[in-house]
Amino acid sequence: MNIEAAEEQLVVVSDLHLGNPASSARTRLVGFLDHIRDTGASVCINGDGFDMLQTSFSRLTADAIPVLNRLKALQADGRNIYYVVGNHDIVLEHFLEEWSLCRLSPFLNLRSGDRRIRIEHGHLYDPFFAQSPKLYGIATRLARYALFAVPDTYKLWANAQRRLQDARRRRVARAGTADDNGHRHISFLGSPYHEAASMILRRGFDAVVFGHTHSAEMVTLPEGVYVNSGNWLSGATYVEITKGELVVRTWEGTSASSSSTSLYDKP
Amino acid sequence: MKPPGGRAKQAGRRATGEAELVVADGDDIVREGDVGHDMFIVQSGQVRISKRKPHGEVVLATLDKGDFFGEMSLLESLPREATARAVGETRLLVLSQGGLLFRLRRDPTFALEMLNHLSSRLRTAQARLIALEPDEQEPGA
Repeated sequence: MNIEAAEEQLVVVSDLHLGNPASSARTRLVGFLDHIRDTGASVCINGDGFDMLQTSFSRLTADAIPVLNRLKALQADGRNIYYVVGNHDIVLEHFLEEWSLCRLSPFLNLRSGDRRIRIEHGHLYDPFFAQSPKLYGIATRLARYALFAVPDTYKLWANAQRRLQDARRRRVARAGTADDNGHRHISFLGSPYHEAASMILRRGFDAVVFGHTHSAEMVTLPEGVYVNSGNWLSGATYVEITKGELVVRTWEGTSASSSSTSLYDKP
Repeated sequence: MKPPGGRAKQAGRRATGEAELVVADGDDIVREGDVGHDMFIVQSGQVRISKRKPHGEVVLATLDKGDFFGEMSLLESLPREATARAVGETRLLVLSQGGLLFRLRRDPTFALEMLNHLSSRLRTAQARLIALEPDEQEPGA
């Protein structure tokens, strides 16, 4: 099982949920991967790339084939393709070995420039998943029926998540201070993901990249930087790593991506 | 835990059983034969691991950011097998036995990383052992 990697240029995307009735990732992703082919970067899918829980075979096939073809083209160009397992594709844990297409890992410890970066999906730190994994699995499978009947169910879930996160952010904003870059230096850990990132950062990592929450962000914690790569189910955010520098970007469907939401700034 | 070098600064141990330790260049962090039950993770700087031999000191490894040592004493409650010395100012995360258990529950991927490193060390040790053994003689040779 290979958990170590070294890349000077890597793009991290997560939560594509290819095959999920609510996912519109395929079209955007194909254009994005064509763009990445011109940049020279390797690619890491940081969990929930292929949705094995909320899909049908025909949907998964229709979504996956064009994306896999783009990944194959990148591989033919000599790039590395990494796939970190998430909770919607957890079945892939049974195939943790070198695929012909990509390197499948439970998490990656990336060396880039002089920095050590942990890339992990992050579902292990979801309180619901951690405390009741079976119930979590049942709830996710049941949600599949709602999604097939009304794909917009995802929007309801996303709105509820956003409200919860906004409430947490307000709580954190009251506890932290902002610097010139808009980074918040947080003394109070307002999220289980920040707390988990903090634990990992203390082990000699400079940055931690999670997915899972579907909400892209970059936060400066006392121990280092926490980044979330967001989602492609309805969004198009990604983390660009260049010689250890991390930037969160949004793909806008053209040849160029938007400006970064934040810059790497170790406290 | 008081480091042998005596010049190290250690932050108070947290309720999690973890503490941070800053050690000056050239100071010993642990010494071969000493009793100790903590393990260490390198947060920054480097650590040189060495062992006494009749003809002098042999360097076994140089550890970087993210590497760990001292886990044998923590896991087996036995004296230190080797000496660990700071190379440049070095910052360490110190884990007690309780601290390791707490961390494994909160940071479960560390278990896999430990197994991965220990497996790699075992493979290296086996390779060294085989290299030391004389070649098997053909019967009747």
